[in-house]
Amino acid sequence: MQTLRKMDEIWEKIEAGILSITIISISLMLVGNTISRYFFSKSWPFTEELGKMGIIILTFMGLGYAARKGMHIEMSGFYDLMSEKARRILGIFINLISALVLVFCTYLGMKYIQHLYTLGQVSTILRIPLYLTMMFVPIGFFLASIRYFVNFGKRMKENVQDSV
Amino acid sequence: ACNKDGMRSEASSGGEEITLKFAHEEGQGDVQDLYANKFKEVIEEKTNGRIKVDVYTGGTLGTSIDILHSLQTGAIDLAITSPGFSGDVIPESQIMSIPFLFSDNLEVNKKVLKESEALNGLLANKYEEIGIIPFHFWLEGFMYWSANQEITAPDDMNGVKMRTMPTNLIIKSYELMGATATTTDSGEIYTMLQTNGIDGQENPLFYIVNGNFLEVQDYLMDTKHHIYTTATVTNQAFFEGLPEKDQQDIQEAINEVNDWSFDMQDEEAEKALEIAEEDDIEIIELPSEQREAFKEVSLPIRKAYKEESDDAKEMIELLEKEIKEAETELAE
Amino acid sequence: MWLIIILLFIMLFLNFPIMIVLLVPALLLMLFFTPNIDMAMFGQVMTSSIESYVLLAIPMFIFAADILVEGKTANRLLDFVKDMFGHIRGGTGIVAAATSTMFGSVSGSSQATIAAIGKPMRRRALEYGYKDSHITGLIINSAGIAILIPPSIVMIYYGMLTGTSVGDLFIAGIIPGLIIFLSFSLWEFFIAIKKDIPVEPKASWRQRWSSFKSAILTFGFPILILGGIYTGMFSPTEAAAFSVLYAALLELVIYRSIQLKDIYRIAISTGIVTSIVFILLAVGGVFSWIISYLRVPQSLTETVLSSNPSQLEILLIMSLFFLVSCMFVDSLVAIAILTPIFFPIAVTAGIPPVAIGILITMQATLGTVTPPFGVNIFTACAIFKKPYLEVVKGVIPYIIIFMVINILLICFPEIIMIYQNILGLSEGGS
Ligand code: NA
Ligand code: NA
Repeated sequence: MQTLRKMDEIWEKIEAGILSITIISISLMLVGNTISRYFFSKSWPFTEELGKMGIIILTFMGLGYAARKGMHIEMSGFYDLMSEKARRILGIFINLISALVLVFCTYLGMKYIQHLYTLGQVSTILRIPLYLTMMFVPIGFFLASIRYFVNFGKRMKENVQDSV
Repeated sequence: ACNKDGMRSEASSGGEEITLKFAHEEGQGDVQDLYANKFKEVIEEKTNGRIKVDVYTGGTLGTSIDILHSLQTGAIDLAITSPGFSGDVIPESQIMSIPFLFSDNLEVNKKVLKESEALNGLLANKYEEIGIIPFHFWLEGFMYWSANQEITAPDDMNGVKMRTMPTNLIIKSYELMGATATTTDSGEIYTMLQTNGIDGQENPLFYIVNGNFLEVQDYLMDTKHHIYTTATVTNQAFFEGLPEKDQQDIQEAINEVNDWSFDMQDEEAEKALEIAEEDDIEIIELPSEQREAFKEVSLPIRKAYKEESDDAKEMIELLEKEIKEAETELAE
Repeated sequence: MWLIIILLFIMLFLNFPIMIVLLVPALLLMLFFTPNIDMAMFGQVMTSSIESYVLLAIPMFIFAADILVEGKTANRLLDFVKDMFGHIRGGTGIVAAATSTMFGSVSGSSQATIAAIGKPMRRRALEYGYKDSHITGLIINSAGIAILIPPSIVMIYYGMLTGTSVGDLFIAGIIPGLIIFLSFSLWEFFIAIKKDIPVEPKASWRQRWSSFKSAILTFGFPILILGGIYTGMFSPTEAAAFSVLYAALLELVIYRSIQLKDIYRIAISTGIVTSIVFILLAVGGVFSWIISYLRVPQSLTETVLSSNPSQLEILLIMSLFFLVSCMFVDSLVAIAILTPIFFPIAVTAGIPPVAIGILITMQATLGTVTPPFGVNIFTACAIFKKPYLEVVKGVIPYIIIFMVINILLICFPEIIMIYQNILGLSEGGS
């Protein structure tokens, strides 16, 4: 359990690092390309495709991290009006369904990767195989599903303590 | 929903009713849209409405590369997809991105597209390797340069920020001509031209007119540096799974439409030119010796293409030969 | 189909994460309504709807705003604003509306505006006693005006589809944009009186001068962004990255209010917010795709337009279709599908193409701020860390104002064409 927690902490740092470095790199690249084009008459042709790749990385690598921090947008409202117990049951239900939906999305993401692998599509300028970039799709869904499973487990435990 | 209903009932001319999903890259009324709707008209008449067609215009199911994916996964049955956008999947198709490769005589180009073994044999095989059958390669007219200054000699091109399609070959060609090739996103071209963030761009004439680039550019160069080619394609597994009769009907209808398309695009180019002539943009025809000068500086790009693969080398050499032969033949 | 929609609302109210609320029906639609399609399309459609270069402006402006809020720069500017306008009834609200409108217009992205202007502005307005849902609703809606004022990708796209002059559209959009902004400002003025939102004591000119001096470097932002875009040094997307650079320069080097390692930490939070917003855009893209694929709009319009409608009816039906579509699908996709259907009918009925374009643009604007699926509402939830319903509550009065103006322009599209008289253009000109 201890090592698992330790690993989780390290993983959190990695996730955060990926997000942060992606954001910073995109900023630097866009500024760099503009300066290069304006002052040195040389555009960086890879800007567009790396930028798009950055969007994919941010979107999907952020999924798990946002779930970890409980930051995905929710409705609230009715939820707050419910009793403690109803909320707990609902919490279990929501986390389980969410986790399962995300597992299915992970599977579809893998199918997409497989499709890209057979198609052999590469990025236009840098010739980076697309299936490598899109790997972030199933990975992101997978990490997010784990997070909801963990929350599901936590809720279950709470419930047991409560009923004892 | 039409698909399911259609499947059940049997029609008079034998075989089941089917609805073909036909997607293309352009807007309503553009060249590809006219082509797709002409096909709809021809095939529906030919089969007494047994084979129906739903046309999806550009943007409704995604952009060019998305269309190729949709075709591959069987989401759509027929598509018009331009080789210029397919280079990420079929590297050899970049042959259609090489400027000054084709003739400055449109009739020669039409003949080559119809008869070329390099395209209809070698390049078509490359499409089939990923499960796509190209029925025909056809054209949407000459490409033009528009810019905020005159560009009639390679020297004029020095330092000009030209917007090109984002592919290595095209970027390199323009760099060889001395330009600063920039791959501005298509949604930002208008604004960047307006603010002189970029100086010029290349596109087929109808696109320059429809994109309203005439409003924000001063010069239009009729360079004949390139033709805009596209391809009508189908999903191989889908097509070969159809009854023999359907395959034949579709093939015949496509052939008919494709022949018609060469005249249709002449008309569309003529219309676009009239609009451009009425506009206060200055139209400059590039003299042929200047065209040769540009061609000269861009030649190394063919070497880059040949290095792509042995197949690519074979393809371009054959195509060069075929173009030359067609030029001499039509000159007689 | 209806079952799926009902399921969607049940999940929404049960407090599922909105990401899941949208994923489930998208998956069900794909599984049951397009059974012949390889499910690999799911990943394909999802990623292709966010893989857009121009969308990069959103994380960039979020990043710049995060840096400014973390440092002291935002406060300097807001202090100056307070000293200038704080004593006027509704002054803070009006300034929030004005800055959001201006920023949105230039950046071209209302989501980016919510991040860049909304974040510092909202925080300050709360200190002045504004209600959270009020100020959030104001910011979201003012930011929405972005699409109406040039540069505007929606107008460029419409112009390309219909052959309408983009230059004319750009000019024509300004008047409706201003009308909406002025109406919002008036509303702010009245609500400040009614709710008796306290005003600050009027600052002396000496005080104003001192806060002006303290804020002077922050005026670099509009100069940099406006100047950069209008002189062609960079595109709106690149301008976003430059505002990050400028923000970092101010905070790190000039004011030294943050350190390099703070930038790293701020970028993490920017990354999360980007993810939360973009995953919703991606799943929304799947919706758009399926709706287009099944030709839902085409079959709906076929029944509606079969009778012989009048000019007013055409515009009403058209606006309704665009509005509802833009609520559910990306505005560019809605325009791609619906414009070919309505444009020819509307032109035949004698409505100028520019007026049609402006009305469509207005629906696209409105669609981003309208519940249930307004992108701007989601963005505000993510950036301000507020539950959905709370944000929606504040949006309503502004949507009503927007709607009234919308209906006014639908009934009298001539108002849109007034720009021609102002510029001295003839009726049929350009
Ligand atoms: Na704008
Ligand atoms: Na929307």
